[in-house]
Amino acid sequence: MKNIFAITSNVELFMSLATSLEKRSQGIPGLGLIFGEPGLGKTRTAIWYADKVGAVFIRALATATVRSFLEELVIELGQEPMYRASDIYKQAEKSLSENPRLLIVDEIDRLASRWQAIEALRDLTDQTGVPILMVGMDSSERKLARFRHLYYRMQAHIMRFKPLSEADVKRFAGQLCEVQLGESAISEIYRITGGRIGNLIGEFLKAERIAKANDLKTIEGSHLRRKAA
Amino acid sequence: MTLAGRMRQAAKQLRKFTPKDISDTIEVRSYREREDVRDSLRDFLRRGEIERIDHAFYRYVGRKERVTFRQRLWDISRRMIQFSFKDLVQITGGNKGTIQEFCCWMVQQGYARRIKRGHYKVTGKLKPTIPKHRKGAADQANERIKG
Repeated sequence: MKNIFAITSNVELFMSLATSLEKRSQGIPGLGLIFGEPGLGKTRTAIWYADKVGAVFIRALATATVRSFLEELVIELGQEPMYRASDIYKQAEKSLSENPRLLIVDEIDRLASRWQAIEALRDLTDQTGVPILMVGMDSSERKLARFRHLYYRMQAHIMRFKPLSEADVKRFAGQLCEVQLGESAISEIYRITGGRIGNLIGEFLKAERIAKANDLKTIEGSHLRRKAA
Repeated sequence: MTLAGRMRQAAKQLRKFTPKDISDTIEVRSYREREDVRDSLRDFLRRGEIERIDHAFYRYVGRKERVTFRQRLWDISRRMIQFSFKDLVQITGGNKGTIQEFCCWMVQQGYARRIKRGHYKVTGKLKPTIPKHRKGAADQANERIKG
């Protein structure tokens, strides 16, 4: 298996959404949301993108309060947080105004019940102009839809991470798998995994093992089925 | 302060601006100086310090700090909390030897602990800036041998 970060359609959509947020014209709100089921590579893509563009990445904790969230943000921006929440907010605002960067907030659904934290994010993007990309589970869209004023502002920048399609699996295999997979093998792997990345990698490794053990150059669906039987 | 420094300060203040806004803020009067402002803005744009959002309308992005490879590895590992050698190679696409050395350093310095072969977990909350590379016992022993 090649050890590279594979570009799937989800990753491409992530990149296009982040770019459109960063390059948005004046007057367009800078909030975006990426959501989807677990195991589709949302966080991994977010970490990869943050590394690529030098974005600020923070993860909301289940126990987060507005103050602790802002504190985390300020620490991430390289500052020592002050005592009062309003002062910490000012610190964050100043730092982001001086050095505007994309802000990625992972596990946003954990913050969805703390309206003050969500409002603080809205204020940050309004006052500093920095784009904020929120990443969360499947339920995050529903949870954020309760903040109607906020939801309308980011409707143009909402994207759902989907399980990979069969064509995506083929592309993914082409990038990662060191053995050639035939059409039937791709269909079989897609049927077994349902396009989930974690499971796909396991199946690719299995295909590589079969190819190595039997000295095969191409793996077909029948090889995988025989192994499973 | 140099003209570029004054312009940078004004751009930070205004955030979104036209060349005229900058000239007015830093109180440029002569035509020659206005030309210098235009030239400097072109340099800022080329350097990625500002970006064009519309015709003759710019946004201050900020000076890009040079991020070292070790800092990138540090950021990824603390963001992932539980990471593997392969994760770091995949995300950064960097040199395997350097990454291996970084993982060993993390364990040696107590910033991470090894869960199983090639898999690590950071210990506690790590600061955003990578601490200065303190020489580990192995390095010191090697130096003693060399000396």
